[in-house]
Amino acid sequence: MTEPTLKDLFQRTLTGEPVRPVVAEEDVARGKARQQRMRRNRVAGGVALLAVAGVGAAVLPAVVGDDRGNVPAADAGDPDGGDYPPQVGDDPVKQRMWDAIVAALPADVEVVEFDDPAFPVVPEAGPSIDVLLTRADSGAAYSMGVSLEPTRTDLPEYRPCTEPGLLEGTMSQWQNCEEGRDDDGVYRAAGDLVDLSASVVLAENDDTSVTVRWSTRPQPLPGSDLPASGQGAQPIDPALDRAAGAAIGDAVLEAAAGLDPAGLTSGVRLDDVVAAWPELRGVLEEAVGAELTPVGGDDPAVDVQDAEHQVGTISAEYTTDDGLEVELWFWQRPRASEPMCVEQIMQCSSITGGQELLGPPEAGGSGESGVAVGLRGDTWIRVSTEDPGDERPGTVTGGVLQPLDEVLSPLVRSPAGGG
Amino acid sequence: MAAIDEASYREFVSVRRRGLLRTAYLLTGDWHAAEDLVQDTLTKLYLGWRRVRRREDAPSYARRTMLNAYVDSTRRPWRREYVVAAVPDRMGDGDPADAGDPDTRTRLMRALAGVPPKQRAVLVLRFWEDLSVEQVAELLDCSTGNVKSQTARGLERLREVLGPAQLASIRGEVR
Repeated sequence: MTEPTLKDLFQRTLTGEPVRPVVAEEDVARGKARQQRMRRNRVAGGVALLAVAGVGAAVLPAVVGDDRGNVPAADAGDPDGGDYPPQVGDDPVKQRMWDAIVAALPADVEVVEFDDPAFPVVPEAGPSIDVLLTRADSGAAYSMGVSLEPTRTDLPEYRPCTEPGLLEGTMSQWQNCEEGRDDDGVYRAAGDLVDLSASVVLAENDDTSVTVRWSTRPQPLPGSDLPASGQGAQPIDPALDRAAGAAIGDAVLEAAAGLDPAGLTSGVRLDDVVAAWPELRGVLEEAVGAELTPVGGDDPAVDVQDAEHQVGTISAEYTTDDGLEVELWFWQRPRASEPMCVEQIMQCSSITGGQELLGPPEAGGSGESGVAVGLRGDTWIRVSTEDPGDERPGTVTGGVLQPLDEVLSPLVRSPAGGG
Repeated sequence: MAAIDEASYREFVSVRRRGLLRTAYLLTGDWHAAEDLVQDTLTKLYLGWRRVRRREDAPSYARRTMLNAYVDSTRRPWRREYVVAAVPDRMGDGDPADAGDPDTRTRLMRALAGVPPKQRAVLVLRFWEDLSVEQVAELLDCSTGNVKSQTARGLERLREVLGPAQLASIRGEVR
């Protein structure tokens, strides 16, 4: 008897294969259903991106200039935050990141600093720095954010190119995308979000992951002749290109060597959000001007997907006596460097700090908006009514973000505690 | 937005679905899990069908999507598939004559279950799908050297479980 080949053996394991005709229509139906879910909540006019408050203002206040000459030694840290800008302050991790960033900037690119009480810079909780950059004499500024986090070696690498998931076909899908591990074992991904005028690079070793994201759309500096952002501004001559972004990522990755990765965690405890939920509901009731009645049994519903890393969703749905429907979601993703989609509402929080809203317009009036909470968290609200003439959805969603943020932002901890 | 060319998608599903299901079964060791994996793969393929500009790329696109979904499913904490340190009873006696009976099938499935997910994927791609080392490396986004080493380790694991007689045939596979 001829010895079986491995293929023969594989063939014989297929005994028991279900005898069922292939019905392609079923796969078409599943594909259509998924597509329809993705479009369910699309706001009028198509996909909308809700920019999260960051360093970008349409008109910039006074420019202080380049501070590279004042940067102290990398390891020293300054407990008083003396020579560091407000977004760095006295945080030794941020000081280390800052030193690496400014040292890696291209020679003709410098940091723009705010010095205007009307636009106070508040340091973000966690190992993240947002700055504005300008190329010499360009008259334009570009926002850049750099964040650090522990590498989640228990998860597969984020693969924005080959596995965009639900972001496929959206503005948040990475284009001109590259991903893979280099000869030094550093996993890298890079891409452009062309429609969002942004680019991203990701670099991570076994301990630490760095994400650098920057805008390619110029904002006019005071006194420049450039049109304001969104009024004909062109993504020309950006402060960084991909190589420069990667150099900054590498510099920060190197600067993070020796840091305890556990100290780089950031986020909220889901229990804290649950505890704050009555306050959040109160914010909504004040904005709506009516009492909210929960729909369903849970107020809120809590779905903890990973207690150790405090990943999960918290949500509630309400109605008012006059037919207004209000839905509030908070979710925290496994890591800052990867978007997370909540399939029930087809919301994807983006690595660029925005949210992707997918779906066709709803009947009647509705409004949706969201805001980032720390590096991994997001909150999202939808207000809708069957009355197209009711203007409350837009009014409520437009005005409620800041008070929601004021409740949630203080809950962000760094380092974050596990469950 | 252009409509999806459903006719070509249906044709692809009709021709390729059974093959995908078999590969998925060899990866997962369970027909229900295999069906889930194929459904997920074909749903993603439907959504991305416009991007599959050349129809000859579709099998590779589907294969890559399925592999990524499979590898991801084995690495997520809540769906983690653990590699067993020692494969339980009924080690192979090496009689190739029973290769077609239920015992042999059970042994092989247990052997595959004892192979780490990526090694199992390499074995299935190389010896079931008949892909080259280079093609597997491209699909799994790793080096050809990595594919070769994963192949050798995976085969060694199978040899441990299947027994000496079938060892010879498996050894022949790597030449």
